[in-house]
Amino acid sequence: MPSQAAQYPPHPRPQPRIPLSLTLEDVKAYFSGCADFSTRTIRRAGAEDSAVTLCYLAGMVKMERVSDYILRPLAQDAALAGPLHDAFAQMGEGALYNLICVHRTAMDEAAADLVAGWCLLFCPGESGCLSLMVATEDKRSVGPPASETVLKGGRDGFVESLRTNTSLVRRHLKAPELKIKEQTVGRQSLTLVDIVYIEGIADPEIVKRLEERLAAIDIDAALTAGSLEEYLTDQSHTAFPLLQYTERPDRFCGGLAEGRVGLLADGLPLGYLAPGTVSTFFRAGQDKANNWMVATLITLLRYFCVLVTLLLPALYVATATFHQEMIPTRLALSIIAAKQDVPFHTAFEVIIMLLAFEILQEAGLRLPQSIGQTVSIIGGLVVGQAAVEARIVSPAVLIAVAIAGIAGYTAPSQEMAGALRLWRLLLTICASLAGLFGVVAGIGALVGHLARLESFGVPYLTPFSGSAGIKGAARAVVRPPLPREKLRPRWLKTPNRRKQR
Amino acid sequence: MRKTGVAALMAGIMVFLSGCGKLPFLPDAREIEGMDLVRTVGVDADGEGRVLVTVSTGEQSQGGGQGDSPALVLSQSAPSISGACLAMQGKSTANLFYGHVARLLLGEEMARADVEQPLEYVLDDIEMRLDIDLYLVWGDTAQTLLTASAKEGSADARLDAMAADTGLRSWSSPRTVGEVLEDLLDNGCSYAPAVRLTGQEEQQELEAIGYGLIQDGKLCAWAAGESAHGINLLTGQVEADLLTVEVPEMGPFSVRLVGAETSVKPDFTGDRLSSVDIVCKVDANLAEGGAHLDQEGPEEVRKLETAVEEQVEGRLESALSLCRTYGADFFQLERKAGVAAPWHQGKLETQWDIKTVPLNVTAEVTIPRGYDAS
Repeated sequence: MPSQAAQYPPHPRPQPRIPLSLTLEDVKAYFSGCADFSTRTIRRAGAEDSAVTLCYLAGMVKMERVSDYILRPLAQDAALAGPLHDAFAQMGEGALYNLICVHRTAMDEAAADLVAGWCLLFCPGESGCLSLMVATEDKRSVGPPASETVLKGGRDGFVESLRTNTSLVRRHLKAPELKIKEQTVGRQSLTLVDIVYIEGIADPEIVKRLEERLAAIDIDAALTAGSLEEYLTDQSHTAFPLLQYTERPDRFCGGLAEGRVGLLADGLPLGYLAPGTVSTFFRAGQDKANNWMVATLITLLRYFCVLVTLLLPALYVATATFHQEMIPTRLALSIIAAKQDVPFHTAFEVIIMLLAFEILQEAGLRLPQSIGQTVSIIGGLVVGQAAVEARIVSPAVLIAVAIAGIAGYTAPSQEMAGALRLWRLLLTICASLAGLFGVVAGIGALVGHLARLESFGVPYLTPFSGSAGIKGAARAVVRPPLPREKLRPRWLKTPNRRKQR
Repeated sequence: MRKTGVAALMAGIMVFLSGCGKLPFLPDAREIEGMDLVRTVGVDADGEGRVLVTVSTGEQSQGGGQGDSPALVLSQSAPSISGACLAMQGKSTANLFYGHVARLLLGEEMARADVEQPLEYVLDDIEMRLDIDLYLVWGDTAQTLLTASAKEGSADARLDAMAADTGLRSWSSPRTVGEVLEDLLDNGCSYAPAVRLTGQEEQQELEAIGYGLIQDGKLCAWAAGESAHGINLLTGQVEADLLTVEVPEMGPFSVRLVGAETSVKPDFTGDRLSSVDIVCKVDANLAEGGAHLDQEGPEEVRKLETAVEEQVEGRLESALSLCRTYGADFFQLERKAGVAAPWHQGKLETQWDIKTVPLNVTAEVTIPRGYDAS
C-alpha cells in the first residue's frame, strides 16, 4: 500500500522563487503579463546621462507619494545632478524624501516589494535597485465591530490592514514590552501574520509554539480565517474552537495583558488569542464593563443556556418516548393533547425541526439583507404556524426546539455555538435510540471528547479540570470585583502572575 | 485505524437499515400520544380468590380546542391484579400507562379481606409509585364509585380537589401507599382516608368520610366524626378545622384550629413504663364571637381556650379509644414514643401494650388572634 506521502505529488519550494537576476529587463520580462505593471523613465535635473527608471504596479502605489517623494526630488533637486553612481548612493541615503528605502539585490525580494505596493528604482550601471515604500493606504476605515455588539466601551474594530491593526493595539497597550513578530504565510498570497505578545507576561513556550506552527504552514494562500485556525490548532477532529478570535482591539489587548498570545493577519479583521479554553469562550467583552454581580449572573445564565441548548431537545425526546413517567402529569396530558393527529414520531419531529432551524439560519445568512428579513419571518412564523395547524408538528416540539435554539445564541462565540448545535443533534439521536441512557452516554462521550482536547498545551476544560481547584473553577463562572483579581490565571503559566497591587 | 472506524460505522448503519430486529440492549420506545394515562386504580374482591380491577383515566383534553374527552373507565376481573391490568390492555385502543396513577381505591370488601396484596402490587410494579394516595371506599366497591362518578365528570377530578383542599376543609388527610405500607411492615396496623358515594343514584357525590382503620393487614373499623378529627389532631394534620364551643356566661364561639403539634412521650418509673403523655399544642384563631369577648382580657381568653381544650381532648380521646378497643396501635404511637426517648426503645418494645398502657392526653390551646380587625 503506498504511503501517504506517495499518494500526493511532490510540493517542492523552489529557491530562489524567481530564478532571474535583478535587472530592469528581467523585471519587465517577468511582469510582462501584468496589465497593472508600469514603468516611468525620469531624467534627473541637470543630468545629461541616461535616465533612471521607476517600476510600479498601478493601484498598489499612492501616486501623490510617488510624485512628491520620488519624482519631485529627482526632477528638481540639483544635488542629484551629479554622476549617476554618486546620485544613486545619495538617493539611498535620504536624497529621496521617502521614509523607507531599501537597496535590493535579489529578484525575489524586489518582486515581493513590487507586489506589496513599493516601487523599484533602477539606475543604469548599478546592481540591484532601490525599493521605496509608497503603498497606497486605501482600506476600510476603523469602525464598530460587525459581529460583537459594544454597549459600553471602545467602538473601534479591527480592519483588513495589518499595520492599522497593530497601530490599534499599540494605542491600547503603549508598553514598550509589546512585541510584534512577523512571518509570511502562503506561497501565493504571501500574507503577513504578526504574533503579538507582551514580553515578561506571555508564556515564552506558547510564543515559541505559535511561531513554529506558523512557520510550518506551507499552503498556497492564507486568505480565510480557517487557513490559519485549522493549521495552528492541535486537533482538527473536533467541532469546538481551540483558538479564540475577536474583532475588538480592547478585548484583544485585554487578552494580551492577561498573558495570552495574540495573532493578527493581513486581510482578516480579527485578532486571535491563544490558548483558548472552554471558559474563555463563555466570556463576553461586555463582562468587565458591567457590574461584577450583573456580569456573574449573566455568565451563570450563559452556562445554564448551554445546558438548555444541548439537552432540551434530547430530554424531550427521551421523556416523551421512553420515560413518560418523568413528565409531570398535567404536562404529559397537554403533550398528548397537542400530539393528537400528528403523524410523525417524536424523535423524527424533533430532528426535522432542528434541521429546519439550521436551514432557516443558513438561508438567512446567504440571502441579501433586503429580503433576508422577510424570508426569516415567513420561514419562522408563517411556515411554523402553518405546520402546527396542519398537524405536521406539535406545538410542544416547536417550543422545545425554539427555546433550545435561542438559548444557543447566548454563547458569545459563534464557533462554540456551532459546535453546541452539532452536539445537540447528536444527543437527540442518542436519545431517540436509548432514551436517558443514550443521553447520558452522549454526555459522557462529549465530556470525554472535551477532556482530550488541548489548546497550545493547556487542557481545554481548564479551569474546570486540572489543578485549578474549586476556586479556579469558580472564577470561570463568577466574575469577582476587579480590585480583587490580583493574579493572572495560573493555567496561562505567565512568568509574572501579579497584575495589580 | 481509519478503515476499522469506517467499517464499524458501516456495520452499525447496516444493522439499523437491514431490519434485523431491535437490539436487545436498547430500551423499548413508546410514543406518548399512543397512551391513555391511568389516573385512578380501583381494586375490589371478586369472590373465590379473584380481584376486580377498575381503572379510570379521568377527563383528558382532545387538543385543538375540541374540549375534553369523557373519562375512560375499564374493569377486568382476574385471579391477580397484574393479570387484570394486562388483560385490560386489550380493552383500550391506546396503551394503558400506569406511570401517572395518582390514587388507589380499595373497595370495603377487598380491604376487609386483604389490604396488603394491592399495596404490594404497587410496590412491585415498575410503573406505579409508592407516593400514590390510598383511599378506602366505605360501604361500596371501587368499581361502583368510579363508574358512578364518570357519569358526570370523573372521580379523578373530585379526588384531586379533595386532596388539594384537604387542609382547608378539614377532611381526612391523604395518605400514600408508601406510608401505609411502612406502618403495616412496622406493626401490621395503619389507617387510610375513607371516601363514599352519597346522594341519590342519579346525582351521587363523592365525599370524604373519615378514616378506615387497618389491623393485621385488614380493614377492621371506620373512624368518622369526632374520632376522625381526633386522628387529624393526633397526626398534626390540622390546617383549618372549625370548632364551636359554648362558654358559660360568655356565649357561643367559633374557633378555627389552624395548627396542631402532638408529642408522644413515654413516662418511665425506673424501668417500668408507667404512662404515655400525649400533649397536643393547638393554635387557633377566633372566627366568630369576637363581639362578646374581650380579646385584650387574658382571663376571658383563657376561659375560651379552656373550653376549646376540653373539646380537643375529647376528640383525641375518641381517636385513642379506637386503639384500645381493637388493641391496635393504628397511629404508630409506640414509634413516636421511641423517637421521643430513644434510650428507652428496648423497654418500650417489651412493655408496650396499647390496650393497657395509661395514655395521659393533654391539650394546650392558644388563641393569639381573631379575624375581627376592629
